[in-house]
Amino acid sequence: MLELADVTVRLGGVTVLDSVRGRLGPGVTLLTGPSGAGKTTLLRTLAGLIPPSAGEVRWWGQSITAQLKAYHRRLGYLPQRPATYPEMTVSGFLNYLSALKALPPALAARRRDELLEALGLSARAHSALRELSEGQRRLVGIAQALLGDPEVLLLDEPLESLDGDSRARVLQLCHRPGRVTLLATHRLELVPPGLVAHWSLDAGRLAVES
Amino acid sequence: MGNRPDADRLIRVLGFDPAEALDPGPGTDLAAPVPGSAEHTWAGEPVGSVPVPEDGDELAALAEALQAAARAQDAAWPDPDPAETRRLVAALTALVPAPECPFAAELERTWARQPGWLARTLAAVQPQVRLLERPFWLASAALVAAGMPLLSPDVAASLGLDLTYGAFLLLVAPILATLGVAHAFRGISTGMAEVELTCALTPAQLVLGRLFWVAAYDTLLLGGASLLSAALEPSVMLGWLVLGWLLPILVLAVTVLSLSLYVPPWVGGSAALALWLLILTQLTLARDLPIAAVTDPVVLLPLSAFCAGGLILAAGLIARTWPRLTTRLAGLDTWGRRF
Repeated sequence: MLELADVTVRLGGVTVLDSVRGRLGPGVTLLTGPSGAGKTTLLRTLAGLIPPSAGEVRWWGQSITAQLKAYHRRLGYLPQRPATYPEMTVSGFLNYLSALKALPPALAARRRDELLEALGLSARAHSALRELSEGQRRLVGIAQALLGDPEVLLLDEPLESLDGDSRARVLQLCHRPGRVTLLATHRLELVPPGLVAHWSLDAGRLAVES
Repeated sequence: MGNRPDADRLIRVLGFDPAEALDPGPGTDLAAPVPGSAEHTWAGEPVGSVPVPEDGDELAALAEALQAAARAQDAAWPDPDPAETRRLVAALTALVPAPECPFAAELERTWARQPGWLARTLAAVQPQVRLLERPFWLASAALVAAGMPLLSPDVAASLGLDLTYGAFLLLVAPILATLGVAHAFRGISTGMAEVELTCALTPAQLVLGRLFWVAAYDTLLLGGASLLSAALEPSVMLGWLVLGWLLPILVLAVTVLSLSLYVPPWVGGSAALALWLLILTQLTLARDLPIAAVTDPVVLLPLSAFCAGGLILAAGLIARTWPRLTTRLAGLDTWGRRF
């Protein structure tokens, strides 16, 4: 259970998130809002990358800052930009992040192969990331987020640049009993029904729609 | 319900207990019509507002009325569309307790082990070596090897250079450190640091891990080359030579890192290198000394003092940033790109 307790984030004198309060339970929650509404800042705050100016993010009732390492072990995060090291191969990149996530090597290798298969990337496992299309790089980013079979999954615009088949694969992978998933997008038409809740952000304020 | 056998018969007919089903519950508006059912009443009263009859015939009539109401209600409520069904399935699936997952269970077992400080540090440092790929190793080695012809005085003379290999090492050491650190921290400007900082390592472990690999490899290369220089060049003193490159690589590495918390790593690296060249020029050419005099204690002593001062300044800059280290390392709060 992930909880936002009156989270306010001020950046350079501008209030980007304004007393955001809400609970994220198991299932996929959709986060929408116009550009500049604060979606990415909300995800970064939930990921522990931006400390709230006021309030706190709680995971199972305790502030994430008090248990950041344990929280990060159970977190999968996809940033808005498909971030990679372009010279690395797909496998090498996932191996590197598996090691940073402290996953046992044998388990990590199995998980990597499963994810590449599920995302239709097995044939590109030994390709350099710079050789992939933007959509394929985004799929690799989603694979890295799912490496540790995370309990909390934060995905920022994961469906951008993906075809319909890939979108379906990604959404299927997001579903796992007990997993808290927050999926941010500004393109509602890309998301099929089947989500637990819908959060809408506007000018840093959150409207929760079940 | 007074007549128990009749009540049981009714329950069998209906498939549920009407006494429970008719309980209106707190806050229920009994006067409100049930959608699609105009006849949803019993004896002229809304269902639920009258006591459950005890007579068998009345109960049978009640059962008939309830069945009629149920049929009317079924007709009024359309079948859910596939999207609603999917939403319901997703909501219910999410609530199902997670089954025992071998992968998750093994992870938990691994993480439950509490290794000592050294093991934890090594576990955080070791994976980061993968970040420095072949071009880094080869380019660094090539740069150090490029000056080896200077070990022959004839080559240096033929090139018109008044430069020993030892002096060459002192000149390239800061370049090695600067390029290495800028390369190792390139994720700050590419967005990768944002991902790396959500992995299972602290910002301090990330910083120290990368600095360790760059400094260790540079030290290995320059150490080997210094031994060669001291063995073949009579004018070179090994101790001064090692001091002459060790302090600069430390100060340049920390300076590039601290500047990279504010500007992109390549900008920070270029600025640090320019500052270094300025200092070096002031200590040699501005004092009418040849650049080769960089190995001389006359230059090395003030250079070391500058390095010590630089280390303190850079460490202070990092300490000042410490409360927002994660945000800055993630590249979310650098100059010109604030979130």
